Amino acid sequence: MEHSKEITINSDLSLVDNVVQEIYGFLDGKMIIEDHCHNLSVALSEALNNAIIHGNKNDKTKKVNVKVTINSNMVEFRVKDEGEGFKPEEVPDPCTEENLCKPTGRGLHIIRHFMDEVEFKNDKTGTLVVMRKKAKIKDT
Amino acid sequence: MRLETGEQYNAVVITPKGKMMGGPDANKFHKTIKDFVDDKKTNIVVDLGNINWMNSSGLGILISSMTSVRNAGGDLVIARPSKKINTLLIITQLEKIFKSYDTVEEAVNSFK
Repeated sequence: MEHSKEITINSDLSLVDNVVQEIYGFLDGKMIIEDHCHNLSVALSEALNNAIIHGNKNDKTKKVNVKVTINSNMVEFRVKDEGEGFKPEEVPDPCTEENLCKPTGRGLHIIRHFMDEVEFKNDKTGTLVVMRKKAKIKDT
Repeated sequence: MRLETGEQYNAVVITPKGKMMGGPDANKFHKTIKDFVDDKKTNIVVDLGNINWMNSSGLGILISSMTSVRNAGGDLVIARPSKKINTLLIITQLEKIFKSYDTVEEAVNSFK
């Protein structure tokens, strides 16, 4: 059985918490390992923040769409912004000595640790981040 | 995020509660830190025992606060981080930067 949920918001950071709570509520109780649900919610918040700040440049007229899909062994997030895209390989490593004390720049690093697969797809309409995590899901 | 503050011996203890995730939380936290630094109170313990959720923005609040306090000649240490927060600190290698204590008492005593 596959379940999915989709939410679209304007690019307003104050809306991220509500979206994360709603998705957390959707996942909570379905995950066999509780820590997975927490880590997924953190990864999702990082992707939403990146989409709003770096993708849509905090332009509140631009949208961010998130879709979560779960099946018996996997959770997938698809986060789409309307920005110009970026090259993930050019994002600085936050763990180097010169970056370690910087207050920002860790979102992508955390996403990569908490998710099993992360893909970035840029086109004329924006950037799509696809994140997948293998996880045991309870029968529903 | 809600904030409580108190003083124990020669240290300030800041206790945030709830989620630590940037935005308005960051402004509130930085204002609190600035007020203590302006008041020459630069031995600061952040008790994380009541934080149930944190992301990179929350880590950013702690880092920029620590930098402000260290620039003022003091230090900011953390106490009672949960397993989930410790995981974030390890992943981001910030465990190398923050002095972390299992209890508030140990953290306060580190300033004696």
